[in-house]
Amino acid sequence: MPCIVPPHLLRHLLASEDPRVRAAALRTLLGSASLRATRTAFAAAGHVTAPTEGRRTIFDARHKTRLSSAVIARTEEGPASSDVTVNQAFDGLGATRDFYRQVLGRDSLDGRGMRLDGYVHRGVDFNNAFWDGREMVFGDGDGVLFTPFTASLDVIAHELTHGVTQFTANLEYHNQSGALNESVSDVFGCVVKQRTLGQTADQADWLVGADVFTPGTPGDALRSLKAPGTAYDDPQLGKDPQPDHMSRYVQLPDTEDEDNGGVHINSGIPNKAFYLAATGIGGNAWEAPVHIWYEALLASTDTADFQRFADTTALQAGRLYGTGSHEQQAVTAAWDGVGVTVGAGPA
Amino acid sequence: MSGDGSGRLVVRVRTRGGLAAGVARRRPDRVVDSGMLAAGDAVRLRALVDRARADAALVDAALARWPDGSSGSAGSADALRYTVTVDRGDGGPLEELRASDATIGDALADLVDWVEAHAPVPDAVPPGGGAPPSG
Repeated sequence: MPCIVPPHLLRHLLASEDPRVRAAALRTLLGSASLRATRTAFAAAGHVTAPTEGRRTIFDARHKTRLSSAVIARTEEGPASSDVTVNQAFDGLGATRDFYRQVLGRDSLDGRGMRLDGYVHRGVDFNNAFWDGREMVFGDGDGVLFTPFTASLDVIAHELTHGVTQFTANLEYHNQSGALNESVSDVFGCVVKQRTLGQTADQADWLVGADVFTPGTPGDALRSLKAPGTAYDDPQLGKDPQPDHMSRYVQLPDTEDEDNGGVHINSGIPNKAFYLAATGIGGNAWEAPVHIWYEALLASTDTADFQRFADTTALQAGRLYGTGSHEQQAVTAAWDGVGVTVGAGPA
Repeated sequence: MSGDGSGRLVVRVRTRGGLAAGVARRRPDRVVDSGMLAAGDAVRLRALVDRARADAALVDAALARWPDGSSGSAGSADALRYTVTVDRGDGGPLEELRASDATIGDALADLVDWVEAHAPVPDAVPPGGGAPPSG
């Protein structure tokens, strides 16, 4: 009996004639996130949330799994918090928002000034951070596998980029389109961090989550765009399962138990393609490389696969920098380097 | 011996997905057997299961009226996925309750948290968190 209820469906349930169903739906909404639920309920009643220029609000979940009792910890106008986690979340949301605004001319995640809400201290020892379709939620980690996720700008930018993808290509979260969804978040997460640190493509470490993953093992990370499959190798955790080439694509069932067909695993292939493109073009990844990938995201549809996305990046590189340009050649070579031949797909 | 005199319950929580999904695929399930619990804990487990089942049944009945709304993954990238299996030990079918970080309701969250807190800790425990309180 599946009980994974997307928000749009819960809005339907709120309108049910059965009071018990309405009560159950309301409890679920309230249990997921109090303010999201409030907005959802308002939306169901016909209210519209006005654009807010990406204004940030950080909530403290106070170590509860449910967010219904979260309290406001910092706002755009308010002072800094005495809680470093709150300030890290606030700053990370700001750096990502500014990246999209200043580099790509995008007004927040939806392009229309969507407010940015983040929840910190979710649960106790909670080893995850996620985008739930409307807001960011950060765990503190258990101190062994993860430290507080707010310490990682690339993780924050990764999660917020899921919001950008949701409002643009809306890549389906399974198989190759899902792996592209994850890859786009890894790519932009890394590039946001590189811009903040002022690192060129050659200088960057191209790691995701290095600041928060296994504090007892320096140098490892969740993923590596430069060398997928090498981010970690641990007796308990196993070895990083990411492939770096289509010849090593990991076929997995499209089930939740198997990561929806390996969306966090096969993302290694387009991740490596971006790394090769960025280093092939040279300089800062937040210039030509990220513009090409962003335009490709805008031009893609929800079922895009690696082949179609590769073709789209090459097309956008030609459109932005000229057919046969250094940039377009670098993009084509990058995809070739991971076993995807630009233009080889069905017409 | 059930501990509460009303039959044995074995509750298994499987956690998958998340930002570190590659690691989570190796995470052992967390299992609580009411027959191994103190009487008070067994009663508490049964109450949590009953409440989670009641909520899930209501929502599922309503979902049947909207068959188009079936996709639960969209809009919740990197959320952990929880599958709770309830075995009543009577030879009947296993019951399964599922949710993600983004959609988990009060009742199921309480059950997951309780099992995480009371299950024997396996040797290796990759992601999924420790033992959040059910408050």
